[in-house]
This record gives sequence, structure tokens and C-alpha cells, in this order.
Amino acid sequence: MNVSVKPVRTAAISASNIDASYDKVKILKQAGIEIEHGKITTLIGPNGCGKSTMMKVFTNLLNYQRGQVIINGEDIAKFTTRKLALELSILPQEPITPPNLSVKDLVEQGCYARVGALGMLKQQDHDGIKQSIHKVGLSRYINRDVDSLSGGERQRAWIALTLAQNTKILALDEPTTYLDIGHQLEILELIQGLNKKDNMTVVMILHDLNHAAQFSDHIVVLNDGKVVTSGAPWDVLTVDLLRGVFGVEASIIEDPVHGTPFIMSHKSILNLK
Amino acid sequence: MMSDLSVTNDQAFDQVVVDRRWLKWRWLLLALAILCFLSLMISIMIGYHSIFLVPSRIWAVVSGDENTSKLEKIATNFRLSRAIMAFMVGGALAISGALLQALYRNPLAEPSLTGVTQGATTAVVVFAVFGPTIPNHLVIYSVPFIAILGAIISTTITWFLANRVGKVEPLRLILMGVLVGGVLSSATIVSLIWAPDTYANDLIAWLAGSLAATTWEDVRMLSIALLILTPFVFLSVPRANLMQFGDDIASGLGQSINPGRILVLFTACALTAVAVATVGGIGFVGLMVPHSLRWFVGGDLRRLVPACFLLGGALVMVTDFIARNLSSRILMEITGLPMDSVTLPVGIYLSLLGGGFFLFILKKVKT
Ligand SMILES: Nc1ncnc2c1ncn2[C@@H]1O[C@H](COP(=O)(O)OP(=O)(O)OP(=O)(O)O)[C@@H](O)[C@H]1O
Ligand SMILES: [Mg+2]
Repeated sequence: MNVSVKPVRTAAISASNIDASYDKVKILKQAGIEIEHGKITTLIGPNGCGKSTMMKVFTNLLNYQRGQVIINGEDIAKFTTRKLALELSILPQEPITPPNLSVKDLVEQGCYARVGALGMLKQQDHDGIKQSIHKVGLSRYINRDVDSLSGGERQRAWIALTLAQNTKILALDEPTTYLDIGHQLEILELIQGLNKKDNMTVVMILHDLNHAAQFSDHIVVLNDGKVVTSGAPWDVLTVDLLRGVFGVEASIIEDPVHGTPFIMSHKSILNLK
Repeated sequence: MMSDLSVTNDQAFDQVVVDRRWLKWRWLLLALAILCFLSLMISIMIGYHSIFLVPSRIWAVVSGDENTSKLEKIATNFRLSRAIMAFMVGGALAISGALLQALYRNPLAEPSLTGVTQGATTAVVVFAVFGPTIPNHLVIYSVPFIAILGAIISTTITWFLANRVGKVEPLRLILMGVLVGGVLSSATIVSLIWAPDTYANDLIAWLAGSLAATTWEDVRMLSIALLILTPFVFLSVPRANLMQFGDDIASGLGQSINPGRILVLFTACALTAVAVATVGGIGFVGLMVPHSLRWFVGGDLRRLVPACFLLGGALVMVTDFIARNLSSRILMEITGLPMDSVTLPVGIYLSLLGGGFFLFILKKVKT
């Protein structure tokens, strides 16, 4: 008798054999990814390899041609837009900031899925909104226009929006772009705190490999629309990988503080022509 | 560095209980309501028939007091219906503009610049000239439907023309809107050639956007239409709010993109169309009003839309008051043209005002 046994622990997100394309151009080729509950998973890879595309696929922002995406044990096709927004929140790579919107106005929109369109007409969930703004340290700017904030403050406002959505899974596409090194670490520590304290599942895309190494439980490497390798930082980040995927000669040492891999890049061996 | 994150006893955190924008907004609504009331009073007190009505006389007429002269009755009825009409038209157009701007993510989106108004006017003219004859008493109630249909068709065409490259760019949208509007306006003029002389003039006057022929029947029709559309506005506001962020974020926050878009587009088209159906092509209200308010109440449509209703209403009411009281003698002196006993329709004044405003914004958008 062939009884299919349900896995004891289902992944938060599991995408398998994904083919996805824009118009006719195939971007993802048989790509698969597993995101575990309560872990920080980071997607890395060179520009244009399909990281954002992958994230769009498993957050239902892009239709895929082949494969399957399962969120919390259920096929993503079974979710309505609203139901999915209760499970996972997304911060795209370059969010559009509408003019004349205060931080509070922005963050309040995070309640949409929970209170519904008509609920949004009343002002609801003040505490949740204030908490989210507080967590990213923007309480002082709560009445300021988002488009008048600095790049880093704006990024934190967007993160507050995803927090106000109050989901278990957080998907962030390059949350540290535009930020200086101090604010990069601040955001990443904030994300780590959400993961450790609130047990949130985080999946993000980063370009800084050392940050990926320091903050991730799990790293997924994409190249040319395929998943090259994935696993713990020490297993994934190797001199060969850096040469093959990123085109750099590098050496890897142990970070004396965190014990994570630390990459020193020496020289590009990319042939851009 | 003491970062914000480590501040646990954050003073600002407690202060945010007072949300400044909503507070400011309440005061603004009050001020706008007073403005509307004053405009209404002035509109009724002063005007055509050279009779000045003090508020007590107005009240006497409105409350049905027998002790009023025929002239007082006529003047009050005429001016009151016209002022109410102006108010509703302005409010509807301003809300329509605010919704379109959110939907298109474009500060220049405006019913008359995105093909909505011309779609409505053209449909009405074409129907009046070529359509089946309908009983007189039904005309007033069928025109809005025709106008809505026309607005939706031409908006959809504009959308697809502007959208061909994958996304709708601000200036491309306006370009296409003006293009579609221009083609439709020509179609309107061509249709007018076939119109019997008896109502060709009426149609031309109507096209320029005039409140001169307002009757209580018109007021009733538009109030009913706006009442029906009110729930649509309520449903549209939170959705349009999310649309300002673009499809990905709106969808990530739980909004189904296409149903939301259709709802907001329909509401914006219908609001403009029912206004146009009664008073003709009045433009730029949907551009000027949301813009002037946005810097004050912010871009959140939950505050913007109610404020738009009041300010749009006041704007058209005041402009119409000026339009019908600016004596032809003054017009003659300003323009040097022989304009004896001519009053220009309110639409002309609003276009003049709006044109200047548009140039002003265009400069800001480009930079
Ligand atoms: N909307 C789109 N239409 C057409 N092609 C697209 C679109 N978005 C991305 N692409 C293409 O798909 C490929 C993968 O893009 P994607 O955004 O997933 O890359 P990425 O790995 O996130 O890169 P980056 O590190 O630069 O953000 C690129 O070649 C890009 O040109
Ligand atoms: Mg990307």
C-alpha cells in the first residue's frame, strides 16, 4: 500500500521547478527554493540573475509557467490576494512613494488585508501602527511626509508598513539599498530582532555577501535563473562559488566576532565584453 | 550613537496619539463647510433679475411663506437651484479628479485630460443627434447613462493607448487623453452638422459647460445620481489609496488589482459623466481642487476626497456666481469686443483658470 506521508514540518514557502518569464524571455529555469519557518533565508546572485523575479513568483506578484509554489502547506493558487497578504508581507525592490503621504498614512495601509476596504475608512488598529513605527524608530517622524525623509528613513517607513501587516513571513527585496553602512546594519539588526524575538520567517535579497553571511541561517545562490546551491553560510560561500558565480577572486576568513564567513574580494575576473 | 531603536521611553511615541493631519483636516472641513454656506448665501442674495434678497426673504420663500412676491419666488428658485447644481457638479468633478490621479499615479490626471469628459459629451451629442427619439420626460434620466457609457469607452481607449509600452507614464497618458479628447471633440462637431437647427444651439451652449438652464428637475436627477454613486466612492477610496503605491505593493497589501481598478475607474467616470450630463463640458476642476488640497491635507484619499467635495463645490459655485454677475459691460471693456448682453458660461472661466493652473503644475512635474 502506498500511503503518502505528510512531512512533519512543512516549509513556510516552498517553490519547486519554477519556470517564469517576462513576455517571451525565460528568466527562471527550473528554479526551486525552500524557506523554513522561523529562519532567515537570503537570496544572493549577480545582477539580473532572477532574484527579484523569484521573489515575485513566491509572493504571487508574477505568474509562472511551470512548477509549484506552496505557502504554509497550501498551493499559492488557492490563496486570494487578501488571504495571502495575511500570511506574508512584501517589500519590493524600489517601492513608489506617493507624494504628500505621512509616515502614519503609509503604515496604516498595512491594515488593509485585516480590516478590509471599508474598515480602512475608520481609523483602526492604532496600537499596531504605532508599534510598527516605533519598532523602526520613526516615532518622531510619524507626521512627516514619507517623500521628505532621507533614503534610509524612507526605507524604514516601508519596513514599518510591512510590519503593520502583522504577518508571520516577511519578504524583503534589497532592504538595505541606499543606506550607509550604519543604517544597513541597523536595518539588518532590526530584521534579525524580528526573527529572534517575534519568531518571524524572513526571506530577503541582499547584495552584500558579508551581510548575507552574518545575518542568514540559510543562503540560496541564484545564477542565470537557476539555483546553484543553497545551505548554511559556511557551506555555500566558497572561493569557487565566488569565482564561478560572481566572477571575483576572493579569500574567505572567519569573522572574529560572529564566527561567520567573511569575504575579502581581491579582483574581478568578469569579462564584461 | 543612540539610535532610535534603543529609545524605549520615547516621548514622541506617546505624543502621536494626536494625529496632526486628521486634526488639521477636521478644521479644514469646518472652514470649507462655512465657505460653501457663504457662497451659497451670496449666490442666492445677489444676481440676475437685479433683485437683492436678504436672508430673511430667502427663508420666507424656502419655507413656503405666502407673503412673498412672485419676483422673490422666481429669483430664489432660480438662484438656489443653480447654486446647488454648481455645488454638486464641482464636488463630483473634484472627487473624480482625485480618484483618477491615484489610479493613474499621475498628478496631471484630470477628467478632461484623460478623455473622460469628452467621452461623456460626445456620447450625449451623438445620441441626441442620431439616437432614437425618446419621450421628453425620460430624456433627463437617460442622458446620464449614455454619458457614463461614453466616458467608460473613451477612458478605456485612452488607457490602452497610453499603456501599450507596459506602464502608463504621466505625460504619455495626458498626450493620449488629449488625443482621444481631440478626436472625440471633432466627432462631436461633425455630429452637430446633422443636428436640427432647433437644438443645435442648445447642444453648443451645453458643450461649453453652462449652468444657465438649470431646473429643479436637473437638481433632482443629479442628487439621485450622486446618492447612488456615494457607496461606490466609499468603496473606491481605500482601494485608490493603495493604487497610489503601484500594483506590486497594492497586491502585497491584499488588494486584488483588476477588480479594484475597474471599480475606481467606473466611479471616477460615472462621477464626471453625471455632472457632464447635466451641465456639459466643465474642465479642470478635478485638477485644481485635489492639487490645492493635497499639500494641506496630504495624499491620503480618506481625507482628500471629502475635502475635494466641499472645495470643488465651492469653486464652481463661486465661479458661476462670478460668471452670471460679471456684467457684459465689464466684459466689453476687458476684451474690447462687442459683447452686449452676453454672459459667458461658467465652463469658460474654469477653463481659463484651469489652463493657468495646468501650466503651473506642468512646470513642477517636469522638474
Ligand atoms: N518587468 C520586466 N520586464 C521584462 N524583463 C524584466 C522585467 N523585470 C526584470 N526583467 C529581466 O529579468 C531578468 C531578471 O531580473 P530580476 O529583477 O529578477 O534580477 P535580479 O536578480 O533581481 O537583479 P538585481 O540584482 O539587479 O536586482 C533581468 O534580465 C531583467 O532584465
Ligand atoms: Mg532585483
